Amino acid sequence: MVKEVARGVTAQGRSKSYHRRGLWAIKKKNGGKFPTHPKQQKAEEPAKKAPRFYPAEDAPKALRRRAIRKPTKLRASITPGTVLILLAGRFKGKRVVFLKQLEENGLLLVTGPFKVNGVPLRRVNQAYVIATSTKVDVSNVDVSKFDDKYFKPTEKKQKKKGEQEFFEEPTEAKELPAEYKENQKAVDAALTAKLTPELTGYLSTRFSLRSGDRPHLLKF
Amino acid sequence: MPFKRYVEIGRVALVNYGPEYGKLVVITDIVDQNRAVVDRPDETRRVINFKRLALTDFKIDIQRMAKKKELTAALKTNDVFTKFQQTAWGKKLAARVSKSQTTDFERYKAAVAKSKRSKAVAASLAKLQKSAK
Repeated sequence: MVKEVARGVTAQGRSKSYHRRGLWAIKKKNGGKFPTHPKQQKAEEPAKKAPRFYPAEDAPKALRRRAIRKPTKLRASITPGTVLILLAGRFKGKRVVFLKQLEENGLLLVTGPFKVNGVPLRRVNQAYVIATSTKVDVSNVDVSKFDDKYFKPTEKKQKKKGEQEFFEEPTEAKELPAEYKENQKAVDAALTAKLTPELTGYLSTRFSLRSGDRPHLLKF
Repeated sequence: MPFKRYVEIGRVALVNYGPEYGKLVVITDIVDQNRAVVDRPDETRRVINFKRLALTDFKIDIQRMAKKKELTAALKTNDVFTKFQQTAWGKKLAARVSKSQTTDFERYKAAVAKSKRSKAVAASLAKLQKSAK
């Protein structure tokens, strides 16, 4: 580039730039003209019939969506096998093992393991989690079948209860499908095989703050 | 009881305030009743208030306003900084640092060990009390 003398004004003018860039050589090589790409031939469209009717009112045109969904950034401290402390929900305070990040919405796939502390395969938001520096070996855990679809509820919505049904005894609790149980068992078996007794004990205890603990100064 | 630690040239002191918190320095001169000139091998000599210093038992033999070279040499021959780490005070500071560096898993292990120990103590105490009756 040539030096810019002022904003938008270069030290060399159009003519000098033309010679400096060597455009004359290109022109000479191509018989006094700049080379051009041949225009791409479009496939001929079939002749359209004009519509017989026009809408009386202008149909609203959908706005173009410019927003691109960027994949959620995983915190650097969270890698497969990291022990996490859950901070919200019914499992708050539980220490769980991180397995993988789900692609669609960036949630974290975690498990207790269920056998150790009762936390099943579950999705959690990384905002509600403390990552510890402890890692567990999860190399032999197969998590390929778990995605967001796996966790979508399959049941239909219940109808509103009438008066009669309202006073009826509630029917027995719904069982989890056997497939889910087996998946949990397989993951638990692969995970617990790699856990030392000390790690098992660690995962089975809940985290809580004691008096004098200052969470912003604690190392996890 | 007379004092054991005096503010004097060559007195080793611990900084207990500010960005230098926890560092050992040597008093090389006294400015007035409130301030001293302190020095340390890896820092520039500067004035500090006595309120920010805690005097240690150690004193090295240096001239007033000793040069960096002399100060470093005097510290090296006496090995004062490592000697301080072996005192009860130095050990306490080191323990405090190491405790603040423990991870969650290490804290769990410590808690388990503590409960194991107290259980063993309680068991043997109960045994002794029983036999004493």
